Amino acid sequence: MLDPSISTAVAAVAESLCGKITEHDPGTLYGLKALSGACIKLDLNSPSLNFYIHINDEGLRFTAGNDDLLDPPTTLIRGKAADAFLFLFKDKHSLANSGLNIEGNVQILAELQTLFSNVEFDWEEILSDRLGTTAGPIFAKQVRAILNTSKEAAQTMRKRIEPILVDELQAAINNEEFKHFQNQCDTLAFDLEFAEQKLSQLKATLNKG
Amino acid sequence: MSEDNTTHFGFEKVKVEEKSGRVANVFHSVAAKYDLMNDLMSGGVHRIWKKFTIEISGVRSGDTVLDIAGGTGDLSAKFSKLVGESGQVVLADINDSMLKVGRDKLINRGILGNLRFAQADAQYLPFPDNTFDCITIAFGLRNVTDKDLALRSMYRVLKPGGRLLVLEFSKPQNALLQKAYDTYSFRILPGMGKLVAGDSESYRYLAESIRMHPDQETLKSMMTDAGFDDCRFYNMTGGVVALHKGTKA
Repeated sequence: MLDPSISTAVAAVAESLCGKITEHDPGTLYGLKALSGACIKLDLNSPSLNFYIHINDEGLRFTAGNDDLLDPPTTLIRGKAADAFLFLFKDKHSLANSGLNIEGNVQILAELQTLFSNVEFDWEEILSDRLGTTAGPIFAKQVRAILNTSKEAAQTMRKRIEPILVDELQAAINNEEFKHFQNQCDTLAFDLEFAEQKLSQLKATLNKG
Repeated sequence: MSEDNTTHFGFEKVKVEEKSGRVANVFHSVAAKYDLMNDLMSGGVHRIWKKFTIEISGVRSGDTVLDIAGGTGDLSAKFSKLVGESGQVVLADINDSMLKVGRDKLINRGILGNLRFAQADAQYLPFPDNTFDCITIAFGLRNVTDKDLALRSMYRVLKPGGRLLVLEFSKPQNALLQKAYDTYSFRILPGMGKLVAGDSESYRYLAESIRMHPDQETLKSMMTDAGFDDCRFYNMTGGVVALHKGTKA
């Protein structure tokens, strides 16, 4: 078992990060309130780690390993720590081929994914706190504009790349076709070699004659 | 505590009746910069140790919690949130300077309502029997003159089924870590105390008192002797700190 200081530190960092998100995005906090009472347990191995994510009216609370006093989790995720880590940074959060097993209420995970993929910070509040109420909203407008432009650029890029990829992938041969082509090449090479040898034999016969 | 009526004050042997006064002087001296020094001395890791303590406590809404030697109120602040309006937290400390710093800090942070403050000696807790669902004492037990008496007093005020959590410096489980820890405690810590809090002696006492504190197994058996059931401990940061947990049957 890992030193509790390490697992607790990981939980503290995750809690702090989620706390910052819910502090500056009331929409996410509102969405979490609807899931209040749910508890997700991450039962990880290699290294052995237990994490609990408690959803309450104030957001998310992360704890590390206290099986004795807690109610059974509503959702249980089991698997290797490395798989869970990779899963977090995947674009598509499908559990297929992720190496993770899930038990209990899966809907909560889908709802959390939707909530956290639509996070929108209240930049006016964040920057007004730091820069004052005059400069804050001006910079917030700029930040929002830059973020919107980047988002739009990313969406445009995706829209443009997707059809190209689809066309290219359609044009590209699949594995089986490639194997068949390789076999045909091998057969052709063999036939050519055979023909060459036959030709050499015929030449030799002609020369003798 | 020994039979010749003496006890330890760091590495020094003093009369039993002297210890509380001398410990009080240490904490009067460090109270104002206690939080800052805690962060500096532990590199902020004391927050992780305290978070783990809160997790293990299993405190829920409506519970009554006693935070002994609560000092500047780090644990009480978290417990206050967990127990909610229907629960109650008592922040107790024998030292009025520490209690004042803690009270002011919590009030300034808007933590009010379910929080009470009490200047109390852990050996003679001024509460009725079977009052609390959970009692914590974080980095305080080593300063208590008669630890067995304090543990029995805690057992008395704990409700049946209640938990006692003792968070305290302990014995590192690795020889190399022990060596590094000794160097840090006796060479760096007093210097840091002098630089930041203007008091190297108090921090020298803190380092010495940690070495004189019972190790993990000894404290566990002391808790068992005081009447606690299901006693266990969790080593943290390689045993630099240990969290002991006992339950009142």
